[in-house]
Amino acid sequence: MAAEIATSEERQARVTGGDLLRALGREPVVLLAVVFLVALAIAAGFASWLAPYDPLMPNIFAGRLPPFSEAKGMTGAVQFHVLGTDALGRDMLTRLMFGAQASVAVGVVAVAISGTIGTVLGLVAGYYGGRAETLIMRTVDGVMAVPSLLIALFVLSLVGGGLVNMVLIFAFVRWVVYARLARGITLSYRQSSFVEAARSIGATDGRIIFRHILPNMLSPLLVLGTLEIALLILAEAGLSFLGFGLQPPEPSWGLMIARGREYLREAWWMITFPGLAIFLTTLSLNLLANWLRTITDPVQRWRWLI
Amino acid sequence: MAVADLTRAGAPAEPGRDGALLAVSDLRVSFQTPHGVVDAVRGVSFAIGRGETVGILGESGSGKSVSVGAVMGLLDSPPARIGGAIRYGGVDLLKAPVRETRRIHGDRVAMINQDAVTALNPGLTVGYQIAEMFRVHRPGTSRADARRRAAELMDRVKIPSARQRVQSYPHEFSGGMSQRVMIAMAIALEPDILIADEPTTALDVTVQAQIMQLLAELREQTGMALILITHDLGVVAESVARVLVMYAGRIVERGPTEEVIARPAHPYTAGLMSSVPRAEHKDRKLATIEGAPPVLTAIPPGCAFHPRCGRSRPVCSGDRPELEPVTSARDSACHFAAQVFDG
Amino acid sequence: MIANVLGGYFMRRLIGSAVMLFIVMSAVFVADRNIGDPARMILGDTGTEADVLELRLRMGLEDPWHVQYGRFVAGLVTFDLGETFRYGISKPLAHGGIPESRATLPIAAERLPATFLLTGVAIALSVLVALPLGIWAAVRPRTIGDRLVNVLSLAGVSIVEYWFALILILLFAVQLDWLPTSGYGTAAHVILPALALSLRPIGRITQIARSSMLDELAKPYVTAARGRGIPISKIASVHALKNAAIPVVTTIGEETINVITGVIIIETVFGWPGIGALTVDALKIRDVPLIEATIFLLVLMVLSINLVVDLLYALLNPRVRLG
Repeated sequence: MAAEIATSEERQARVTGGDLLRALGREPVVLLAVVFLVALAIAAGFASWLAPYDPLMPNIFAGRLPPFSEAKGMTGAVQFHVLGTDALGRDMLTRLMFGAQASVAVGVVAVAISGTIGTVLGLVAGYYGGRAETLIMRTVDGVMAVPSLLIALFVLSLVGGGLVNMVLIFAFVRWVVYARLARGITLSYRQSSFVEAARSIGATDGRIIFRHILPNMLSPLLVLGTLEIALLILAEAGLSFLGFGLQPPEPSWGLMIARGREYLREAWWMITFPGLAIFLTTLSLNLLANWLRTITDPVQRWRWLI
Repeated sequence: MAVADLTRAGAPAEPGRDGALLAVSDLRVSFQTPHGVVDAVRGVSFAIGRGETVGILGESGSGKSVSVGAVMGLLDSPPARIGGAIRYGGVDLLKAPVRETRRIHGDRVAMINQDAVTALNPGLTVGYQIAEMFRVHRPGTSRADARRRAAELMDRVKIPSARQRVQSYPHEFSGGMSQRVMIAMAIALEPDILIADEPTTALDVTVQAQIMQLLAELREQTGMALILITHDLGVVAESVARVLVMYAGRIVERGPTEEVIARPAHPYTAGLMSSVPRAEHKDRKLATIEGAPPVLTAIPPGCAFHPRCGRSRPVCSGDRPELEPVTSARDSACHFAAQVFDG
Repeated sequence: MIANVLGGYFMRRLIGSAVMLFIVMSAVFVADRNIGDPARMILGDTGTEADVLELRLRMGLEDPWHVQYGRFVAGLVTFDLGETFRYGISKPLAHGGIPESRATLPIAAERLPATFLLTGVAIALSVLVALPLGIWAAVRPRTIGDRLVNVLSLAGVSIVEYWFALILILLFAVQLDWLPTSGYGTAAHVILPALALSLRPIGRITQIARSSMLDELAKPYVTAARGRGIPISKIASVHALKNAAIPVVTTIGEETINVITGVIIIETVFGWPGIGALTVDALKIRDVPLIEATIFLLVLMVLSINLVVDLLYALLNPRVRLG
């Protein structure tokens, strides 16, 4: 009964950007996640300038140094390794920053490609129906019937790893989730009164799709995209860990864990930090997606804006 | 205090008040929302005696549903803030612990909802849901016994081939049949009071009449009291002896149904009457009440109805009129009740 | 009557799954034979052209494609997915000549019990932890406890399984020496891999159990049941749970499939002799016939779980049952 009153009141007010920021301020955990993601994006984007040392150049005299170690670099200058060094004496922090580049690139680019393709196909399937819908949705069912990681593993083992191949395969196996979401939402709006009204005043299909239907699915697509970036970062690291993804000496978080595994007993920092990096990144993305979903859900929103 | 309030209001003895089964006094309910405090009920008092029938008439937002929500213990606090007292048989339903009120809700005071289709659990058979009343309120009732009585009840509320349909799920029932199932659950333990919250609003017109007919028959058989919440003047006129008219969370008028309809003593009631089409005035243009009901976060000062009232005077926005007697059986909360009453 | 309707539904879904398996395996067939030469992959760079040709003949790769495909399809029906010339073969390849061979499907199939055990323990553990946790959080929304469960379940979903596995090994096997680092055979061996696999399903099932219970508890039938004086505990455990179970069962199915994907990495980390580790081995040595056999079984498992979930869904949801 309370909810009824509150939601009817809610319709009278629009949520502004300021409201969102204030709401974010009341969720310290989510705020922390956002700060982490921004810092990660900066670290990855400007790794070449920000990273203290060279990510690839080995330093045979400084192998497997624990965190907070100092060592003489190959140039003779003293280097300080906050997070220690790997087996070849390369600075962990530097490699983590360059590893972030690979993870973020794979995640964001693959989500952009698969999200665009999937949304368009889902819109077409939902709006036009008929044979196009049957063909698209059957394909979706087929791709979804097999775990994405298994498909990626199989194809990568045939065509070989590397950044470009990974992005393409992720785009190929994940467009289906956006297609399914976009079709579902399109179906629910196709018969709605505002689409009928737009049609009755002679709006073209393109106009109806892009001006009336697409804006209504942006929030759920945003939430899904955020979750998918987290999923793909995990997948990239997993495949690289198994040896089917990025190839050495490329800095990748998954590869770093794989190398660290050989020195599990001697150098705990070699697996701990790259694992933490993946974990914190996916956790932050999941927290953000969770919050975005709550805040953009008209039924739940009022509770969180109080 | 609560009883004193009633006497201070000066309302003369109404039938059933002395031996009241249920007495609501100075009930106040507000909700905390993102856009301020919603004052849904602002001091409502009424009582109902054994076998009585009372209608609560009002638009949506008048506070009538929230009032019975408070009676049935359905308001979560927070966000609701509830004040006043609701007495049933020596128990204050607002203060007593849940294990005590639970013995009254559903057993002595039962309710049927506006939308029976959503009020039934889609995942459980209707037979289970009816039988549950016995299993919960009459511990020791065997499963078989409860099921048998559920079938009897379905028969009693005139669900065709009840015995076969005990095992059916709610989605196999029409709206009218679902409402009959709700009624079966409500009368299962022969309650003293049945609260019907807009019981026919969600139904087709022909089905509405059948449901009201059924309620009347059951009331006659069991002698239970009826509180009927509605916005429909016609339903009130046919089904209840007394009526309370609510506006913006307060009772603005009350009295015997026939008298109130024939000769309203509050401008709001008068407005409601003239907006109903009548056979004898079919050539007359229907009147409407100007303006819209107030937003509950910003209720006008003084008489809440004054911005929409044709008789509004400066005093109406200054002083809030209390419910006061107009005749021995009638009360009205209007500074000009006598003038309205006299036409 | 219900049994008949359900039976028909089951048959339709069974045929659909079989068709899906067929399509997936056909896609694998096309990919295998068009990206690289399976014989060359098996013999490696040291194999002579003559050996490669001989192996191609023995593997039937020199036949026209429709003959190969016909044989492949016949193999799917008769559970004969060809032979491996590398895996578990004592005679070394590099010394020239064509190695001896073994049928692939039995090699892969004998790995299944280990995987079933690991998957079963991980999922059982997840459900036992997640269901009470999700329901506990749902009946006290927005309290500290609820928020803690929410963040912890998100952490579970975000966990890097193989990394967490390594941390577990480092902690419990290397440092504390309580449990074996890897291997198979005793109950102690199953603890760490099952734990590593269960965090993500615990997170997901907790979230879904919590949110679907919250959704159900906000529905009008719950309010109506409260008005009938039915205790909150009974409303939650019978009324709401019955309806909330539908999305929860779907999620448990999805998570079982995720665990089956997860075992590919986790079995490798723990040296667990299941089908996941075998898949990675086969992929690493590019043993095409063995790859096909492992993928066949993995996809078969996934489709079977989907089938079971759909059946449970129909059983739980009265509207689907008769629809």
